[in-house]
Amino acid sequence: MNPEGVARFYAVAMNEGPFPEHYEPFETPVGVNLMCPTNPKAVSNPAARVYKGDMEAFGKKEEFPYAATTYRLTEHLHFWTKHSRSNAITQPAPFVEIGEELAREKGIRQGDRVKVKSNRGEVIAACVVTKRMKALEVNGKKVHHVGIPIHWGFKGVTQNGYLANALTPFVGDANSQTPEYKAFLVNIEKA
Amino acid sequence: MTNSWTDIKNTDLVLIMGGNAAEAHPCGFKWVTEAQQHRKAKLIVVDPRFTRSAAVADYYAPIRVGTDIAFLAGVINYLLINNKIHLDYVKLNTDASFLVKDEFGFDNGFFTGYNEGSRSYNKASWGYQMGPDGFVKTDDTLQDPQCVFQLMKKHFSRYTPEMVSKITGTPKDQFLKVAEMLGETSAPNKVMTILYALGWTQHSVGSQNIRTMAMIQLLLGNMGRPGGGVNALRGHANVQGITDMCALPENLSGYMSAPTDTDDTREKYMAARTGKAIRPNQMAFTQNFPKWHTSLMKAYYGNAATKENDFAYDWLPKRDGAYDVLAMFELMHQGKMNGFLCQGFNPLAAVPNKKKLSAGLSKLKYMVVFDPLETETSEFWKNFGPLNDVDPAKIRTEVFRLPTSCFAEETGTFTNSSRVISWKEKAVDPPGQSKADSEIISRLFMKLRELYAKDGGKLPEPIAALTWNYSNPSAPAPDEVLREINGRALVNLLAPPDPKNPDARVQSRWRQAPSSRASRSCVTMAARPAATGSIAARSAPPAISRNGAIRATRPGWAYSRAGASHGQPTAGFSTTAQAPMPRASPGIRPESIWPGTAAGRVAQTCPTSAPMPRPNRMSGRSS
Amino acid sequence: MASLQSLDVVARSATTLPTPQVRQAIPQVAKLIDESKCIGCKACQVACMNWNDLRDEVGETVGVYDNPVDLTPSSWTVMKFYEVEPKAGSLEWLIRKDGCMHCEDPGCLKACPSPGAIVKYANGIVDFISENCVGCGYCVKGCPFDVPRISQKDNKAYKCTLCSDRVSVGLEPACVKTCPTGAISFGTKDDMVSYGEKRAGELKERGFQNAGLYNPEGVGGTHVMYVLKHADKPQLEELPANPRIDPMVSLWKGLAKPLAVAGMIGAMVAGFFHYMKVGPVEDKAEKEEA
Repeated sequence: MNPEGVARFYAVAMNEGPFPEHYEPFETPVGVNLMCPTNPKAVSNPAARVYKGDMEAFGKKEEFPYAATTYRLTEHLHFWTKHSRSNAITQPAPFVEIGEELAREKGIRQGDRVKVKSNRGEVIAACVVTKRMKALEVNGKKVHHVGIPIHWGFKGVTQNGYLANALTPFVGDANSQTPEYKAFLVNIEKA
Repeated sequence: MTNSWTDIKNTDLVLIMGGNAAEAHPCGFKWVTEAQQHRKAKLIVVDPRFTRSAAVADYYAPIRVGTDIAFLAGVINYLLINNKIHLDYVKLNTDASFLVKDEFGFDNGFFTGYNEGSRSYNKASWGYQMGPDGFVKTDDTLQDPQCVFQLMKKHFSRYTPEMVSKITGTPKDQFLKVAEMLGETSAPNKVMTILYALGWTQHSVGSQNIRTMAMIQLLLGNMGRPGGGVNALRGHANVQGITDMCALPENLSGYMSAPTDTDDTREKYMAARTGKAIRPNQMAFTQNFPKWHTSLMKAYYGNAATKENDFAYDWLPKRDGAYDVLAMFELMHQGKMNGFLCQGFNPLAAVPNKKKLSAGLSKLKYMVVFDPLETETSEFWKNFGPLNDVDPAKIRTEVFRLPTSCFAEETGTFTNSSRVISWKEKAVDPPGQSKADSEIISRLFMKLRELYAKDGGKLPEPIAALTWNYSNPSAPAPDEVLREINGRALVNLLAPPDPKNPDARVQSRWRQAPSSRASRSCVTMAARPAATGSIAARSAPPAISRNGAIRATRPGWAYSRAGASHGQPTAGFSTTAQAPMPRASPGIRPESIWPGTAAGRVAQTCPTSAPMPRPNRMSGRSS
Repeated sequence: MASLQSLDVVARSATTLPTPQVRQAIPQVAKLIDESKCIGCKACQVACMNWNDLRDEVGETVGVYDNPVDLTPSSWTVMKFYEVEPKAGSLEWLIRKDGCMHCEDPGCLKACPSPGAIVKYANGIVDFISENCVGCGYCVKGCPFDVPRISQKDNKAYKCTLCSDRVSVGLEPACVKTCPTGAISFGTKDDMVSYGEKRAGELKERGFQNAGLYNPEGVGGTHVMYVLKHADKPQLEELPANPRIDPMVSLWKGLAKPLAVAGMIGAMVAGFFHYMKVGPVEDKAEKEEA
């Protein structure tokens, strides 16, 4: 099908390189790319497009030490089904998820209201404290994750909540420009 | 997805990574549970959180967000070092033996050719070594240090298990266990499949995440096998349909790359996109790009697109920059956008950095929101306390809300992740004055056309000449749109004469009465033809939405067109000239070209898989 | 109004009249919930509320995925999520669909004082006939699984009906129809028991050595059964290991009744004999003067 007629291990069409290479997300809890620690220009994807103003809006790990990600839950489809009562009953109110270790560190208990902040905005929601998210040891240091489901907003029949994308960074993939919703930095505290 | 939903039941191992299939695709997930029950398939989940998929998995390993390439590269290294690859498959089906240019290199995070200022690569040093015969040079022994296989080994040797664990946070023993389980499927009688979704795509290295997995599947010999493949699980019900119909600014329908302002002539545009085989006997499917493009332009402009005017190439907009969703909102934020048509999209909620979005929307003169729901975007200007802390007095944007119908209130199609297109019937009428998106867009278009005709303006020709042959131009019926997407014959093509009986009456060469079929395309109209007539795209992002319905799909799909694939010269069609008889191709019987011979069989018997060879090429197909 | 015909009733609360016996060989039905295929999507919750025209309140979150957190008069089935570590260091997330177990020997029916408020049909379904319900709450006490809930609005008890209305016309319950992975199956009790045991065997092969079918004997077996990954420890998922009807209920509704009746008759007889022998109380002073 393609001009070679065979599959490509080596793909010139990709913008950041014919072979894949690990680059950190633009907001990284590690601060360095361990695959090329002496090259500060290659910490994150060197071919990704970043607008002026957005580069400055990235947070640093000193102020925002936790790795956050946003995601869907089965009970809702993005921002539609918060307008549907049946769905709303099965998942009524906004929450964020953290592991038990981080909760202990911050004095947060299950159900407490917490404030999650990134360099661009904040979200206040109830907190789910779970065994399912464990701290990971990355380059000798502990990295905690904060999980942020996206489904709530200021319209709909669910409990109103902050829009999760108040937190996310404005940068996308170097080839498709799909935004980096799934890896950024936040801080969390009891609200 | 490369395979299909139902094919997942044929697998021996399912890896869910970069996605959460049980959570986001509960119905499709039943194929995973089928594989687990009947083929004793194992399910591995690698995810930062122990998700609902992990709850039913056989093995779970954690990973830090954004480090999937390190993990997968570590798997590639493991497979190469431990020789857990399907070598015959790799030799036959990949470019492992191809030689790469000597200038190519990688050092300390950069490949050769990096330009820091523009944050981009000059790819001149990348690329294969070409021989004097115009074909790529290869080394079938896979030993040459410049062959792709050896370069790969070198590149991925840096991803040792210790390094992977350091970067990803996955404990080394868990990483090795996953790599081992994956490696077992390199055996010729074992396959595995990967189910991924936005956990891989929504990263600044998203495309490479997926590419790395594709490389793993190639090493394991799992591509093109039942139960194998790299399976992207799409999200919204019709997102596959939307992307097929080009709701992306870089593409025309059927994923043809759209022209940019450097493509000032059609020749230049085609040259950059028309493929040429770089190995002997390869088909290079994109050699047909000119035919596809001609076909598309004829669909858009009918008789107004002729050979003389380059098939109306000048009427296509040429992109002067990026117009993807981030670029669009950046322009808005810089105050460079006047208006915004927001159709089935809630950017205030869905696009990153709400503060930037809100500022951008406030700079618009007007915004039109087409949505059945009261979205946050349509009320971005209202103060909702800390949830939306804005001052309405400072926002001058005029917001229009046009209520549309929901998916169950309109007839049309959905295309799912498996690329299966299903027709759906309208269940209820939409409430109040809601209209289908297709009707709203059509009415806007008709009004624009009227205004252009009355008041003139810059370049009114494309609007005036656009094909819009619907029985009700303000509200095209979904099946009309579907037929249009399906394609049609521009001329009547007779079946080639029977070489044994060249004088036989034309009638006998036609399975159906010619008059009733004369203007129909060669492709079957099954009782419920399916195409994405529904431009009520729930996640269509474009600022101005073109009517996706008018674009024909390219041949090689379920809906193939009569003309392009019947050995017509690539110069295109002229409706006045006599169309030459299609050249008979071995294995394609004349009567199978016509509909009605066997319900549903026609779509497959139309020459989809191997277009007719060009007259000046040898007739053999690719190996 | 019963969902099935009155001819199908084989047990009726607070009734000593014998139940109709004329029908023969009605197959017992059962619902099997295979935990290993359940992904906790809550489609069953939504199907149930849609079929039965129930809408609960849009609540709050208490910091868990369970919503609503417990059964209510308007939520007849809820998914319950348990993060457990059955073996040290190996986390499992068990997800269970909670709801009425439709016991063969129903504690609710035994405890109910209102005649005909709770019935059991020949096919095994235990149904509440709400028009007869007085809202006393005895069914809640009598249930070994803590299932029925009294509504604040109309003071009546509600629980899963195993879609007796759908079953009576040959359809499967709404949750069964909806379940996307086929974790919920429905059929005759014998078929579901044998399929459940087969599934338990397959789970054992997969590595869950203690997988098994939860069909507790203490209540005579149930018409809603689970295939549990850890059948030896059902308490991991808040299921009673050995459910029985509370002996107090059995006593109160069982032995206590004839004893009480005997006591009352005995008191009457004793009173009669006492009157005959000893007679009414007389004033001694008046008798002596006369």
